[in-house]
Amino acid sequence: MALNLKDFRFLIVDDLREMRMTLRAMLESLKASQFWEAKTAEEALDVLKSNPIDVVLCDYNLGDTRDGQQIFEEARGRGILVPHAAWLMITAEQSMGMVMGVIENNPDGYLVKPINKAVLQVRLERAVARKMIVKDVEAALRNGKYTDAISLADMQIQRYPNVKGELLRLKTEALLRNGDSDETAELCAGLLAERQNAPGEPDLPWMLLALGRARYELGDMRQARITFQKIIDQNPTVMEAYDWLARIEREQGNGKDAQRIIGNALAVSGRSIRRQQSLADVAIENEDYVTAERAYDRAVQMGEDSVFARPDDQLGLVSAVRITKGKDAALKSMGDLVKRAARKRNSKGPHWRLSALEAQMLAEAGRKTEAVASAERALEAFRDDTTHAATDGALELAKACFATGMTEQACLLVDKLVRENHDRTDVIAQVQGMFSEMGLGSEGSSLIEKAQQVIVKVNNEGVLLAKAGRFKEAVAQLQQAAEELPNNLTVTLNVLQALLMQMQSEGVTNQTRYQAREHLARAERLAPKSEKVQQLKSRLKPLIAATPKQAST
Amino acid sequence: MDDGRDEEIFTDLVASAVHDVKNSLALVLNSAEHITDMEAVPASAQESLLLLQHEARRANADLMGLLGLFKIERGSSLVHPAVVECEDLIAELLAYNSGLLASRGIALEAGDIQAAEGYFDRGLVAGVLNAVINNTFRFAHSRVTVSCHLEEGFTVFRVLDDGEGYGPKMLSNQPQEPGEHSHRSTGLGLFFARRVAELHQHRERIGRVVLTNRPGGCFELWLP
Repeated sequence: MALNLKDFRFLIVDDLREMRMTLRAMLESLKASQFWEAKTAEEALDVLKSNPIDVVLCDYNLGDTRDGQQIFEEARGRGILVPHAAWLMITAEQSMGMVMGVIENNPDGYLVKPINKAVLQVRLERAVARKMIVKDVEAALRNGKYTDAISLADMQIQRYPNVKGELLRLKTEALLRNGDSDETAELCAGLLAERQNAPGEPDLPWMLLALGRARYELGDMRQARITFQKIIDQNPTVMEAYDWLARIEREQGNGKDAQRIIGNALAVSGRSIRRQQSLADVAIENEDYVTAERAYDRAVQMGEDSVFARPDDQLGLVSAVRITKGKDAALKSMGDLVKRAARKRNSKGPHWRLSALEAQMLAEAGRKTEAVASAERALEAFRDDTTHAATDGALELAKACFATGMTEQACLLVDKLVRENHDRTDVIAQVQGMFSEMGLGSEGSSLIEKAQQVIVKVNNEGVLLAKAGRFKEAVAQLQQAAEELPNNLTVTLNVLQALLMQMQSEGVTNQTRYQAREHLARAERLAPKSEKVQQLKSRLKPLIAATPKQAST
Repeated sequence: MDDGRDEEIFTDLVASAVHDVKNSLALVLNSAEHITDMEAVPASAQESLLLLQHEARRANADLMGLLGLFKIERGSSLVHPAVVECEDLIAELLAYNSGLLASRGIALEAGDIQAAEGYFDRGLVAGVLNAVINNTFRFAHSRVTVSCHLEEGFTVFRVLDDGEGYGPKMLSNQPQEPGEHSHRSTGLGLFFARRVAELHQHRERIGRVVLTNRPGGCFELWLP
């Protein structure tokens, strides 16, 4: 049982020097010898980035802008923790005044001050031992290998029945993400029923949460709502329940309810950047710009140096200020954001979408030279940005180019945008709307039409080839189009359809299997809830799942 | 408006002052433990160190009790139940208190552990039980047993010592007037323990504290 701590790398995070020293002395007396120390969130993240730390002892209340939970989430979000790293949170208060994550955001244990050597030893041993049991399941889950996670969890449950609860929790998460909603619902309902027979033990929040999510995925919004509400009634600190409830209300068109729910959640725990973001987003939909401005502002501040920051927060802040306080105030707040972005460590400068909006606002204010400079900066950053799934952003960039007289670049952007989205009426309408606003309605129409026709032609040719049984050529032709237009859903679906036909008639090869996986992943990213994608997926699944294990790693 | 802000400032002040004192106490305790572990500490100093540790722990328990009651008063949510492995909790209680009690010649042991899992606020329950165990430092002769039972659907934590038992006033289970207690107890600990128990509710059943003499003092925390 006794753990040899000599080989463990420890990170101690506390703002008080005496506390760090004391913890270190205790660990040393337990024969530990490798230490790193950090006073702030930033220091802690720096250490984690460059050292494979095994155990983190982190004070919850750091007197920093970020608390221990946020450092933990940030470290996870950035993927800088080694899989077996155990995270122990040290708190001053007996009761977990902090807010509990249910599935993903739990550290591996809490230690309440004052801590003595014996307690530290007991908790360390336990946390490290547990982590060894769950780490592979967690890693598979994080890496998107859900079926692996499920089978690993089952295996570990057999071997370590005393860790069953935690492993089951991870398993349901993997089931949910794998799309096995029916199985999740059944499993959770069974577990909850089991607990009803055990005297006096209430529903566990994670079981209810997984059940609610399964019901949501199955489209049973009424039951999902009841389930999430039940969690909140029993346990007001389970934040994910608010998030899901708000999401349902928002999707059902009850924006006001969604905003109220997120507001309640923030009253319990105001320090979550993602929750501030969703409050801001929903407030915009509700045309409550004052709330939106405040929430975006908080999100921007919390987003400094955070993996969860979005350019939308900065854009949203400026747009909200424009409505609540007018153009001049908006320009000023834009200027502040741009300055701040440039000041940041390892700064790549402001995001291109921010620069694009800046260009438009400057052009509108008649500050031509500055506007052109911003537009050029935006274009340059846009070309360097390989992550964007350019719909809204590209249109804003095109507007900035038009506004600053960079017509040629603007038309190129629009052409690409239309080809990427040739059959999406909402996007086409937005593009058309932009041209109409500029008084160029008919020019716009012809540009759109031309771009659309190119894609329609490629698609039709591919489909004809496939129908003629010339699958290989069809796949090749469509795939080439897909390479040029990685965000065009229809092209991607056609590739999948052609691949399906090819595999069904000519058999499965490593190449077709690989191609199908790639395009399926792309289609799911482009349209996670599309029925067409799901239908294709279920037809492709038996073909591409028949893989030897090593091919998936 | 201004009143609300003052309240908020007051609450923040109390919270940060408590944190500060808490950190100080933790450092005092750790330093005392550190010195106790050293070789060649004179016997007379050992006795003072033990007292220092015991009293600092008492102060810590009182502080937590006060903060807890303050929070209940303010209506902020205090109880955050979760699944707790009872054996694990008892192992931690033993680890925290064994050293100090052993130095007084008192053996702290785990008794029967019937419940594998309970559903309660681990931090609060551990705080209450640590305070109770720390108190046995003054009353137990040679042995203290911590156990966990399943009774009437409740998870029951029991701390049993082999001392003289509780006085009649304590046993009457009546709320005490301040200053009425023997052993210079303010009654805060027991009062807080009762509140913590009552805050644990499930299906119309409410937690409670039960004190008996068997014949040594027997403290029970019943959690639904």
